[in-house]
Amino acid sequence: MPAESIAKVDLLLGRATMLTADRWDDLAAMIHEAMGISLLMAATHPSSRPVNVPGLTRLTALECVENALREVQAWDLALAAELPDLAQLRVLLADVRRDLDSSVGRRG
Amino acid sequence: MWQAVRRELARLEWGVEPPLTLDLMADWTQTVSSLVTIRQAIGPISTADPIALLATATTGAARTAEVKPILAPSLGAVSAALADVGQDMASYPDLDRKRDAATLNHVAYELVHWVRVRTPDEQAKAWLLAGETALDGAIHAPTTRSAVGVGLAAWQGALAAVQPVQAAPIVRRSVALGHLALLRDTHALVEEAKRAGALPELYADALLGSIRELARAHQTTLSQIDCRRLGSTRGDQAVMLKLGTAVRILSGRPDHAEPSHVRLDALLRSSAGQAVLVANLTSEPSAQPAAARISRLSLEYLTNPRMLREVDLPKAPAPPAPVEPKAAAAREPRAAARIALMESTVSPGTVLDGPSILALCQARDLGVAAATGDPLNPPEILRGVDSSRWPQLVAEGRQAVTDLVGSVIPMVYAQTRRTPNAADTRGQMFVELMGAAHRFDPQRTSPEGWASYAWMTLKHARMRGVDEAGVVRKRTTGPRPSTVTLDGRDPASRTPGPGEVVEDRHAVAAITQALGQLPTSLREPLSASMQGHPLREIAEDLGYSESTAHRRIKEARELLKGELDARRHDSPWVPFDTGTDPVLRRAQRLFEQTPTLSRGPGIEGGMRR
Repeated sequence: MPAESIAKVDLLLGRATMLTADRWDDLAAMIHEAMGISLLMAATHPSSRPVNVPGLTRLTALECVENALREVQAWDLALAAELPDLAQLRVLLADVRRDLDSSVGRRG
Repeated sequence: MWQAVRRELARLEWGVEPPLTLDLMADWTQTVSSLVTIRQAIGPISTADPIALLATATTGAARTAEVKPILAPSLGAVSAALADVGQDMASYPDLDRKRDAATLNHVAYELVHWVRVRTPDEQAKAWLLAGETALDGAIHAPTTRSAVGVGLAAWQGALAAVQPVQAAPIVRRSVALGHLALLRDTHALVEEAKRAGALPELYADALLGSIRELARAHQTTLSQIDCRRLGSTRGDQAVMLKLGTAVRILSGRPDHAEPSHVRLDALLRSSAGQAVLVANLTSEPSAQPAAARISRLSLEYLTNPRMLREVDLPKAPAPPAPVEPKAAAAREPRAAARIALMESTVSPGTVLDGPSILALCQARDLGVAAATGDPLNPPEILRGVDSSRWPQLVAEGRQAVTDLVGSVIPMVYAQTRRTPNAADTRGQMFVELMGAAHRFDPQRTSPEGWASYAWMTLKHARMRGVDEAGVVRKRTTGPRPSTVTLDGRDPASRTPGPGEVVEDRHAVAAITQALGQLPTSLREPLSASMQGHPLREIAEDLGYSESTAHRRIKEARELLKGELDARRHDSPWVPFDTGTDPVLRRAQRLFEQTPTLSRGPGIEGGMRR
């Protein structure tokens, strides 16, 4: 179980939720839903040591979601048996990333 | 039966030189235990029941760190009178339960108010007000049980559980994140109600403004927390599990069977997920005024719940926005959540003829195809139909299903007459009926067969029945676990919750370890017995007599039980009766013992406020 990666996703989505706390659209709703999933995943599969995301406080919402998506996409799909919300999290993050990306414009 | 309670309540109010207690909160906790006992004697109790919510609120109040012993008239005599009522109830099962439940709510309401006005601590007071409000709603504006109500009860339970460690950053983070999700849902529902004219505009605007302000306060809280060391201790994990489970229940996709006005009603009754308690836990000063306003607006709603009206759906939904199919799929459930109920256009009980049923089934199938089909590659049934008409077909399809159900609705009442849990069974039958209306195939029997099909569906649902929580029983012949309430778990589902999965994991590990410590002469027969081998086979394999094998297995079980009992103090969660949570308490102690500097600048910044 990628407990440390799950903890990273929890931190990233916690920050994305904080950054979008003053948005009241569907996009923020999806981020909050993804955060709800990752919070519970992190609680049920805790990491044995403290986890850190370098530069977390400087990340934008889009960067948080992109990093979280990368982490989630690296997980073995066979984990779906133990993480029933895995597919939903993947879909939500992919959709949020696409919507955020189109709303803020391509970087670089 | 209630005379003694009435007498003691009067004495409490008018008593001259009453016996005093030095710890009102301890007295009150004992009294609430008696109230819960009575409620349990009346019937199955869900965590969303007002008495259960009062128990959770009392736990929260008792766990408030600042609450000091309060000198007040003792509740001992009232508590004793209530305990007698509880015993009487158990001895007379044929009493008027509905009447007793109402009486109990009134008594509890009066008592919690009495305790609240004598409690000087503001945080404990806020908790007691949460319990008082739940009872107030049950007495003055009763409502039916709702899935969101159950989720909100879990949320309140989680807040009470983390109260002893409220200063810990993990609590502030998890509470703020969870409440943001809850506020977002409330905001969406209020906006929708306002647009549909279901909520007075001024009221809705005031609520929306306060919600936004509280969300900004949570944003401030989150921006001040240093996340680097969070989540790795057992205490942190217990907090995350408790709050994470509640957040997941609330932030998951909305239950389609639950209309939006029911969800909004539950949220308003709970003061948008106990906004004041959340503000106390996050300790963010800017959260307090916004939370207080939400609380006031919620109380205003409670005095006049009719201000939230049900509004019909528009006849034809607006064409969908041009979004990619995947994004549309993700948003569809939220978009479908409207403040409305579709009404049947046929009178209840109308006997439909064959051609009418056939036409309804065709409209239904077209609607389903239009709702799920891809306009670029339309399904066979929609070939040649302009895709601009599809939304209309979806609406007509839904109406057809509603009409099919409407034609047989009296059957539900016929099937549930004189059945226990009639309201819950009825609710489940409506769900079953909707499913039947979707499944019915007129080609397989004949269109006229709809009524028989519906009747048989309902009959099967009635035979299976619902459990005490209103959940339909599974088609299983195995033993049904009884629904347990007030032990931190809601009976809405028998699927083990994440908390239970983790607890099970700990339990299995503890059993394995304890088993390994047994002497071989005891471990071997017990292991074989646990693997399901018959006694005779175990005795033969190990070279004992059957009676020796039996004695050794018994001895091993007793040793194992003693060992596991000794470890119980390490359990991550304890029920209300125990009054405290050792893991959380230990986490709080460790947190308090941590040298200030080692907590990091971010935390200190948050703590200093």
